Amino acid sequence: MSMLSRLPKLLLISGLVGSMLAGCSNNNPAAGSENATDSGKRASISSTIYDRGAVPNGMGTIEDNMWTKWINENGPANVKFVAIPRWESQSKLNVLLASGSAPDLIFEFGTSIRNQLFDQKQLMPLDDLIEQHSVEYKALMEKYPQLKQAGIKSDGKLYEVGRMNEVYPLVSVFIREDWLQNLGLDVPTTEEEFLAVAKAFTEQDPDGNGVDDTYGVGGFEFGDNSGLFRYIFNANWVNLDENGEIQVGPERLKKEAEFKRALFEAGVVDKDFLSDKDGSKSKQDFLNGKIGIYAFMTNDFLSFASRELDTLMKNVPESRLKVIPLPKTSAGQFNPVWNNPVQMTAVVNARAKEPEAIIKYIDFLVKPEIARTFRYGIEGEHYKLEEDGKPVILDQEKYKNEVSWASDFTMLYSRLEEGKYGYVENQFDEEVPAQKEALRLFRESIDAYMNDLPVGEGLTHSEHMPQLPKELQVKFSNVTAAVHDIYTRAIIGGSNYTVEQAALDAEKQWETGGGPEIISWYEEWWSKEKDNVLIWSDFYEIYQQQQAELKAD
Amino acid sequence: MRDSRGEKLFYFLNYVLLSFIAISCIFPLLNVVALSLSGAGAVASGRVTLWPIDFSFSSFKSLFTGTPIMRSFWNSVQITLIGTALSMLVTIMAAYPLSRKQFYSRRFFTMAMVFTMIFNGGLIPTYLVVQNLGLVNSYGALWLPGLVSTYNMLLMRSAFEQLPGEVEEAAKIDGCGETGILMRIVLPLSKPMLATLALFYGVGYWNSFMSVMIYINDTAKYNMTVLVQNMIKSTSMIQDFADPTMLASMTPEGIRSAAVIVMIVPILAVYPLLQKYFVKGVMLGSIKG
Amino acid sequence: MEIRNAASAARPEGPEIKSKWSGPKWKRFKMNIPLLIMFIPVVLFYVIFRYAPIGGLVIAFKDYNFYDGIINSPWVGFHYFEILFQDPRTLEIIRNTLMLSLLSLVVGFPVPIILAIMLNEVRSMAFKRTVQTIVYMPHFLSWVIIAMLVSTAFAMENGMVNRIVEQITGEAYPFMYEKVSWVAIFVGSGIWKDMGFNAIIFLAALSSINPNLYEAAGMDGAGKLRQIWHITLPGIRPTIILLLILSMGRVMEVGFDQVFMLQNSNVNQIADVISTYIYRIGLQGAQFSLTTAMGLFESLVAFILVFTANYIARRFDQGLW
Repeated sequence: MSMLSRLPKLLLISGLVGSMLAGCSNNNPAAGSENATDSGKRASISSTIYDRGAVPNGMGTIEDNMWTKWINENGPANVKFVAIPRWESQSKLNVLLASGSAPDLIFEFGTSIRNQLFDQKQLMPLDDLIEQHSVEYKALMEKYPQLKQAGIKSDGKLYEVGRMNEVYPLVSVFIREDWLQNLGLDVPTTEEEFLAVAKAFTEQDPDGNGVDDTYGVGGFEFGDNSGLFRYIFNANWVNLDENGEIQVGPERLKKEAEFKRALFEAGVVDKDFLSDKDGSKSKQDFLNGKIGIYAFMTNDFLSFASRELDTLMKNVPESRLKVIPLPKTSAGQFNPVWNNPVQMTAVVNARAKEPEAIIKYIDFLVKPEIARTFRYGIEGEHYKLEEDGKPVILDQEKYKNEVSWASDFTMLYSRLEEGKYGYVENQFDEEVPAQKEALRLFRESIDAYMNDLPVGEGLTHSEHMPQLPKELQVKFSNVTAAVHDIYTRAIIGGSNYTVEQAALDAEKQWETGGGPEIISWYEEWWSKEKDNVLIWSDFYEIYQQQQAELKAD
Repeated sequence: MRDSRGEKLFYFLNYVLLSFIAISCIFPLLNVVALSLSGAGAVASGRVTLWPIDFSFSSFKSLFTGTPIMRSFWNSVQITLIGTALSMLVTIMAAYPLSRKQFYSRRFFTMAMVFTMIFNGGLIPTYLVVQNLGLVNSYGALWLPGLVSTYNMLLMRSAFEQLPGEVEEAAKIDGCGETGILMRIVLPLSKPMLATLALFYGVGYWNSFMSVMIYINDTAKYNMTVLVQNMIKSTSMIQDFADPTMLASMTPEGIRSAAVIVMIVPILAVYPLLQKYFVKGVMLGSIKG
Repeated sequence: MEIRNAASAARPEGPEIKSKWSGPKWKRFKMNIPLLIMFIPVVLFYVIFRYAPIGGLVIAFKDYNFYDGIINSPWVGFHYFEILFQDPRTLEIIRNTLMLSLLSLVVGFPVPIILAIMLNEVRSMAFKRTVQTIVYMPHFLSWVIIAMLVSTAFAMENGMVNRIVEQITGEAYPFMYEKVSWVAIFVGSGIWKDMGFNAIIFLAALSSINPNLYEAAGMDGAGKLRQIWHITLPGIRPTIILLLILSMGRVMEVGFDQVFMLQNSNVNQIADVISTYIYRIGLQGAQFSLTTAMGLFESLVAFILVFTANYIARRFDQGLW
């Protein structure tokens, strides 16, 4: 048997490999030259675009498709897109920046990622550029000074641009109204009533199937429902006290833990909530009609309608949901978290060569009539405007295939600038039963949560929280994780470990884990920045303003 | 040859135990298959265990029409085949000299290689090297930085060293040089190990995720792992609340299961081809022949 | 042709080979030429892709930022190591990491070997192939899926295991929330997931054992277990030792996905490990210098362990170098 006879094959393979390598590496430098020939004057810039793997077969790629072509034909500059995997955007941006090959315009939802880029001196200040070259965004900033306020970093310069969003509740707490009726109960309004109702839901067979298979409330630790108790007690690390002063530390966590412990000991929650890693078990139980009170992320009521609500209505046709306000507690009464109305979404790379063109491009994306395109498509082709200005999709299938995945091009689209059809309330299709139901729940949720009670999410929306200096951040992450573990043990610890003990341990952990330093950092920050930081009361004002405009429309 | 009673008991227990292990391993897979073939509602409400409920191909359909999975599948194939061939080639080139007793400084080289298993420069320095070689956005960036796995190389070296010395002695007498010994004696006799390491490399390339995501900018060049991960994970991002409708019709669990199937089937298909090399020894046959 | 016996299979250096290179230097050099040529690309690979990036480890001693780059970022000495070791949790984390990975190693290492031997003893080819294919599949399932199955199996309410436990003791046992049982589940699930895949390497090694040896042993009246002990195990000893030494290098690593998906707040005192720690602090902005410092520390420990293991193995003529 001769092994030598195989040698030529091996050589062939390695030769092939060699030529492929060469072929591949030749592709590299070509990137910049493609656009240069288009026109002499047009500037060339580059921009990131999130890749979610959602571009359908045959529509090209997220960085090269009908919409990127459309932008290059209709926009003010030639734009080369660089795809950033949505889930790993941080690592991808890090290597691009560290190697000096990051695009000029960087879109990123993650506040901590943008803050980190600022710390790393990777961002370009935009004040003068916008002053000199911008029309649209400048006008938007004049209309909404908050946009400017939110975009300013600790050195007092403007680094971020973004969009205005509608304020509405990001989380809604649903109760099974049909169960309340079956058992002759009222909507719980205090923490005691909440516990009593949850207990009744668990023990009194609210669905009448004769089997003890229901829980009062969804899981504590993960998934949509996990924030509920934090909102009920405003159990956050950084808060605003009655005097408008900042208050930092684990003090507020104790009452939440006590309540959770009471619920756990009453048996109204799945004992395995700790292993339900993504909250999917809890969610499934709710959708199968086994849970009485559950909080959902309702950041997007339309997708809530088509997924969760639709599933529930099919699985449990007799179910009827109701949105309830958070119960009053000894810590006060609060609202669940709201949508962030002033959302920063983009920054400019400090090494960008043509800042003027970037500002022009930002302006282009800000224009409602342009931005609308990436949401609805081309007028006449994908949608039409009815007489009162309502956009109507012409062909759902075509829309899904060609437009639905393009929404990451709208990261600078302030939808409310469209007038009333930009508002969520007017997006529902009442022909679809689940959407009709969702609209009812949306209105209930607005009634329940959009009021001047404080929001149980601490000082402000997490996207407006400042970044601690690196070393404090490490300490803070560690101490919050440790305290979280301590209180969780107290919830399920029975007589071995009480909440009282946990509170002492948490306090000790906080003291030794850098608590005092963290407090003084926040206090100093607050004394300097309190007039510039947007907090919940500002968002409530924006909400009222938005609603006034909607009524005027 | 007749089995003794002790042997019969041994074989019986062996079969029972192995069957038990195999059953424990097949359950999760049945669950995944069932999930991938069930209706979205049944999946979302967690009613699916080992058998599909509301049988439907919708997960596969949305995977195959709604995403460029075929393109990424071929990319995966390309990355895997060429990568494995290259890695095997260079691994042999490393392992063979190190397995020769007369090779200079084999101790030093081995030690230096093991050192790199323990100390590595991390993401950014490696990226900078790859960038300076002009490999970013080419598959070269996937193949070259991970060309030789020291672990696999050591396994191969150890297999080469264990070959009986008499065989190559005979080859020497026939007038073979080092390359001749390698091609005619060492490689044919090491087929089980070669098959194993090809499998290890192949699986590694097939599943490569981080390297593709970091080094490849052109999404048309993404492999299946990145595509699928990106798709599943971004359905659960909460920050992006402003825009609806993305992927609303898919359940992440259903898609994830379908994707697992698509990822795993090619590996399972290739496995029996390699398996034959380590089901029974090849040594006797090749020497006698 | 003479077939080697079991003893020579386990013996790395044969006297016949030794006699070959005891000749004149030029002869050795001549024999080395093709080997050296073959080895050049390998050296290039290691220098370019393994050793060049190692220079990047200096950022553990610098306050690294993108703007200044690796070279120009300011030196901070052992600052980041101080931060690491001043944190009361760090020692706990290192202890947990060592404990979990050593347990996984001690308990888990023999399993694939036993599995491979068991498979090797199967005489029905069809059965052997089927089982082999099946046991290797869990390796390809992600920890998300496996963790889901594990927590369903051990759930307090309606979990498979607890239904049996309740029959016996009348009360469900919190398997996932008690430290000892959690560790058992952690180690067990890791072994279960990878035993089939890891057995492949031993199967390959087993296949090169000469079947005639078993025949001869059978003739001599050696029972199955004796045959395994005296023929099979010595036949794969070099592979076993090699893998054992190499696994020392991973003692400071506990796979992130596995811990992250299985851990919960009640067991975090023992389940928080280096990889989850790095994830936690890395999540809030990339702390390159700090995580590199941690990585460097990990590597140092692994380095000492591997070199010690190799030193011991050399005493028995089984060293890697």
